Amino acid sequence: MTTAQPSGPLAGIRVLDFTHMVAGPYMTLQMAYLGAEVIKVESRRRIDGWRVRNGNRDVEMSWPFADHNKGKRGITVNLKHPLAAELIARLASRCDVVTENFSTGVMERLGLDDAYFHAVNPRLIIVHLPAMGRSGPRSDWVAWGPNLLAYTGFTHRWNHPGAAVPVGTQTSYLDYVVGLHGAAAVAGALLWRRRTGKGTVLELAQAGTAASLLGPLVLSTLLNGIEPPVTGNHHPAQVPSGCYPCREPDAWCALTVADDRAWARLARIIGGEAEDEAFRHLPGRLRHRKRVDALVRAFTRTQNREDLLSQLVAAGIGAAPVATGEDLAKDGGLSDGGYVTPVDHPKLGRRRFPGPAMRFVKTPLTQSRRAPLLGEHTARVLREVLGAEADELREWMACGLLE
Amino acid sequence: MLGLRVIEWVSPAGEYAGRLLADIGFEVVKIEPPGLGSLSRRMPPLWDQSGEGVLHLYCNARKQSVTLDVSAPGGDHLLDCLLGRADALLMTSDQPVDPSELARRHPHLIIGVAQSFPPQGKWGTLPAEDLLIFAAGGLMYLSGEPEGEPVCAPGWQSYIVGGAQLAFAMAAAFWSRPDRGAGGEVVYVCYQAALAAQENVISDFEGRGHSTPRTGSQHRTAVPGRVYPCRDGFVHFMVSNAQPGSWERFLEFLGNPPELSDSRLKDAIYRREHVDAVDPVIERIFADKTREELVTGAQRRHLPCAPVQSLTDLCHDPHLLARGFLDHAVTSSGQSYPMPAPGIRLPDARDIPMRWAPTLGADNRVLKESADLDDTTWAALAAAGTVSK
Repeated sequence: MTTAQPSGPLAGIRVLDFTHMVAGPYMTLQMAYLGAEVIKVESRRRIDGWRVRNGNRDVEMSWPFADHNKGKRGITVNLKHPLAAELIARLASRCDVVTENFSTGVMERLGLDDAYFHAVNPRLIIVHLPAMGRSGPRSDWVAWGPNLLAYTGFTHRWNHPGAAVPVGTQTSYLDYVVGLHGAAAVAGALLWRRRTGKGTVLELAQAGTAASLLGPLVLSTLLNGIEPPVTGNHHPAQVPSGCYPCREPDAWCALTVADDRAWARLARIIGGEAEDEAFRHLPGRLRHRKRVDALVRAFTRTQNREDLLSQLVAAGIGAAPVATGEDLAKDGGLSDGGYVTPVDHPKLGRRRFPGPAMRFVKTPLTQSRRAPLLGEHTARVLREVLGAEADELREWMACGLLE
Repeated sequence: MLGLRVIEWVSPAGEYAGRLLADIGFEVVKIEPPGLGSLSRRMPPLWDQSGEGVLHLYCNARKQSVTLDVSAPGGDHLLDCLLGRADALLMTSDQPVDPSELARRHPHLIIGVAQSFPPQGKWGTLPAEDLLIFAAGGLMYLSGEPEGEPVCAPGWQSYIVGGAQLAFAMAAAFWSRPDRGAGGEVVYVCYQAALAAQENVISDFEGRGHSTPRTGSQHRTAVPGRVYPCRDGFVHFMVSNAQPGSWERFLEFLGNPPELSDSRLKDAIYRREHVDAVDPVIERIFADKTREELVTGAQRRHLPCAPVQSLTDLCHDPHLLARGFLDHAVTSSGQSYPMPAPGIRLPDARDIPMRWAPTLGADNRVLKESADLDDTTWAALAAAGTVSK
């Protein structure tokens, strides 16, 4: 169930959001999904880079920005103006959470350090998402999400076994997952604040958090003294298990056979050598993994992906498409489940975007609201949150504090 | 601790969510089948010393373990006893009791349900295998060589993503329901949807009319923007329009090669269109430099460059170590073992001990106390296979 007014478990929580690009906005997007009022602070001198990710000249024509900033309210403030720190402090005094992911030292240079915020509001939960962390010998490194994939072991591991060159992924995977962890940390900090009455400072350095995402494999390395082998798409204890080509170009099916009974069903579908006694039980299939994979591959190459998936799922064999963007946009389950919904945007028109992956039975969530235009809510937020009068707003605009 | 108890009743797909809740400060009591316990105890890679799965050892640190087969005689009643004394239930959707039925029986509970796929979709009944969820989530198609087989992320990332989403949702539910009197809530998190929301995969298709293709490690807009081999390994380098002046600094770093003197290359979009002319020059220059030379030189010029590190590198990385990346966990008998630090560290939760993952049924007293069971009754239940001996 969804509503037009901000609604959800975090309704009543107000976030002052200085984050930009991916990790920070994705974190505050989760809060907006659950009804928090997220006030996104930009400056016309320094807009959120995701507004121009596609090289678009019109900063309102960025669907990636519209995707990650749904439901937020946008204000533009010249943060370098002499009056900016005072204005921000007034806003922060009425907020629950402040978030930022600037390079280390930027907030401090703006006069907006943790001590300043907690002096005006000791209950504030302040969240920093620095790339490398605000301390440590490499805290001054410049690093984007893809660099961090390399730094934190993901690029090395995200490969087929025996790959000569580590390819990893082109995605900014870590930005999103760190964003989710940031949201969980904020929700946890709210619960602690209820107990202690005090705010706190959270630092989720993307490098450290990201390295923890490989926690089980790091633990394996620590305990056994040797890294576990890179497995790519293989499951070490299930054969066959992996990614198999279909008849259409660049169409793939992920498949995994959980036990011997599932293999028997798959072998019957494939026929021929697949039904050989040597492969009937797992130990045999493990010994002959390459041959089993070759048999499966030879079969899947003759099948259209949808036909193949239908056969496999009907036979109770674990299989799923290696989904493309088109697959996801048209996925009936995601649409029917309300996970992909249309959103109206004044410049982009009506577009389908992903929405929250969460469903609350009793608490309606806010219906999909679009991302803010640059500075769209400046006057309204300052009126509603600070009680600013028209004269004050005009004065702030005239002196260049507001943009 | 927060003074809130979560009963965890999950397949391995839900265990990371429980670990995050424990890191936040919840008391997490894990229900495991008598006999063999959670499947994650047996999933490779295994710890050579004990034969236990590292997924279990990592995800089930900080938790307590009780054994209970809910489907065995008296099992359902014991589940009710546990839930009656708890504040929340974390479950995967493959358990044999419907969450709405549990909500009816225990209206005070916050119930978090991990669903691999939307139940009304084609994949709704698929097993919660990481490979399948990750494939259906859209990121696997984007990973790997353009002409090659897509590759799944390492280390059960669908469980990590879905688990983080679920931990957030459950903590938020607790925020909105400060006490039992406010009544409970049931929150469902769809792991496929959580993955599909990432990377602008859907909105890029909607915007461009075609799916984002697989490009190896090559970034969509940055050049340099991928993994480059060097003399002793690999580095990842990125120079984009997001950093004004970075291309000029990069040229200086390379020694101003004449092949890259075209002023049009200043624009990253133009460079991306001519990557086949730009990258060979970079590769040639990088080939006889070490990882250290490249990373140090780049960072001195505020250029985004990082070494491609292995897990071993991580365990010795001076920056990560200085920031407390490695911690220790202690068993119930006082043995200490190394443990990576958790993904989120709340200052208020800093004093919560890092307990090693429990042995199977180590905390059965929790079940006994919840159900007020004496030893005779327990023995009978064990004989029936409902609990462990």
